[in-house]
Amino acid sequence: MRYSLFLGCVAPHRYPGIEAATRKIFDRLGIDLIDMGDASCCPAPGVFRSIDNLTWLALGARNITIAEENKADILTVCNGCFGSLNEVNYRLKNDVITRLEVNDILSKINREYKGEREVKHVVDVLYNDVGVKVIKESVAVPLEALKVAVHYGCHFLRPKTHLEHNGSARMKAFNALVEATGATNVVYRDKLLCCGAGGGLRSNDLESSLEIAKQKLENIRESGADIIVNPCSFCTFHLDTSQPALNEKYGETFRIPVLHYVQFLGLAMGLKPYELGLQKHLIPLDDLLEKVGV
Amino acid sequence: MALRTLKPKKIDPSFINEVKAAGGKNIGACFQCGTCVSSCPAGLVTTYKIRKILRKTSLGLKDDVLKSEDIWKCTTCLACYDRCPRGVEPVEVILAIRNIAVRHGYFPEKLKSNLRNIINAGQLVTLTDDISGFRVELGLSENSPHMKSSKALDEVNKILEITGIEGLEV
Repeated sequence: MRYSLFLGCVAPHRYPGIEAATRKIFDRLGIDLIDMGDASCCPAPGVFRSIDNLTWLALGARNITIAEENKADILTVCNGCFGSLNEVNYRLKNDVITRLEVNDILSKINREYKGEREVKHVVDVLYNDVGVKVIKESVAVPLEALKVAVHYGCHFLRPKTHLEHNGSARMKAFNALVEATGATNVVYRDKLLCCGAGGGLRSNDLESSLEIAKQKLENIRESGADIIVNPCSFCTFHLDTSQPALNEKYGETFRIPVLHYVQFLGLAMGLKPYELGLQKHLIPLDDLLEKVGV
Repeated sequence: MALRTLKPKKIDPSFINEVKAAGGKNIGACFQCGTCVSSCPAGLVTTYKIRKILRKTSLGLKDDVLKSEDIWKCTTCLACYDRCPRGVEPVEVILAIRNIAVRHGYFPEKLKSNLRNIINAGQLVTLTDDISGFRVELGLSENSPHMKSSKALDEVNKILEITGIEGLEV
C-alpha cells in the first residue's frame, strides 16, 4: 500500500507533531507515504470557497493531479483538506461541465485532471485499508486508563451525500479506532457540534469561533473525559489554543488535553511523547501520561 | 416593531438569479422552516440567522445582504446542508453570496490576508522560525514538504490570475 501524503498547512506549520506521528505510525504499519512536493494549500474550504468557487476548484484539482502523477490515492490528516479535496474530486468526477471549465484553466499550466484517484481521510485508510485488527495488534501500551471524548469534526462527516461511507458508518469507524487502543469512549452532549474554527470564522472573527469552542468544551468537561481525540489538524489547533484564550477571557479553568488520532495511536504504539511533539501542545499532557504510565 | 415598507429602488429582483448562478442553485426551494437556524453553531453565539439571509436574498435585498456581517459567520459545518428538508443546501447559498460580496468589494481584511499568504507562499498558514526549529527537533525537514519549487508557486499564481482573483487582495 502507498499513498500520496497531503499534509496541508496546519499540521506542518503549527502542529508538526501530527506530521511526525503520521510518518512514524505508517512506517510501523509498513505503508509508504509519498511526499507531494508541488502541492499547495488544499485550498482551505471555508476561506477559499468564500472568496471564489472556481479558484477553489482549480487549486484543489491541481493538487489532485499531483496524486495522479504519483499513481497513489491521497491521504489527508485534516478534515479541512479532506473536505476540500474530496469535494473537488466528487464534483469534477460527477459534473462534466465543471470539469471542462477546470481543465481549461489547468491546461494553461500544463496539467489535466483525469479523475483517476480517490481522496482518503487517514481514518478511512486506517479503518478500511489497514483494519481494526491490525491496529489492535500494533498497540504496545494499552490506553485503558483513559476516558476519551471523541470529536469527529464536521468535514469528516458531512455532507453525507458526497461520502462513500457516510454518517453513522464514519462515526462507527472512528469510535472503533479510538477503542482499539483500549481507551473508553465517553458520551457527551451535542457530540456533533462544530469546533468553531471553519468557514474562515477563526481568521475573520476569532471571538465568535471561541464562543463556539466554549460550548463544545463545556459539554466535554461535563462528561469527565481525560482527553479530546479528533481526526483533524485544524480542530486540534483550535480546541487546544482556545482553552488558554477562554481561560484568560472568562477566568475559565479549561485544561483538557487535545490530541490528533495519529498522535494518540502513536502513544498506544509505544512511541515517546516527545517524538509525537506533545511538548508543544498548549494544554500539557503530563498528568495524562502519568496515568497511562508513559 | 413597526413593519417597514420596502422601497422599490432598493430591490434587485435579479439578485436571486445571480446567487443561483454563483452556486446557491436550490435557494428557491426554501420554505422558511428554520431547520437551518436551529442546526447552526454560529447561530448559537451570534445574530446570524441563515433563513433570514435566504429570505432577504429571495426578496432581492442585494445591498443589505452583501453588506451584512452576518454572511461571514458561517463555519461551513454543513449541519444545515444535511438537515434541510427541502435540499436547499444553505451553505452553498451562503458561499455563493460571499463570492458575490467579494467581487463587490465586501472582502473582509482577514480573508484578504489569507489570500496574500496563498499568493506569496502557496500556503494559507505559514511557517514561523519557532516551528521550523521544532520541526528539526522532531526529525522533520526544516520546511513543509509541500511547495518545494518556485514552479509550484508560479502555477498557483497563474490560476489566480486566470480566475481574476489576483489583485483582489490589495
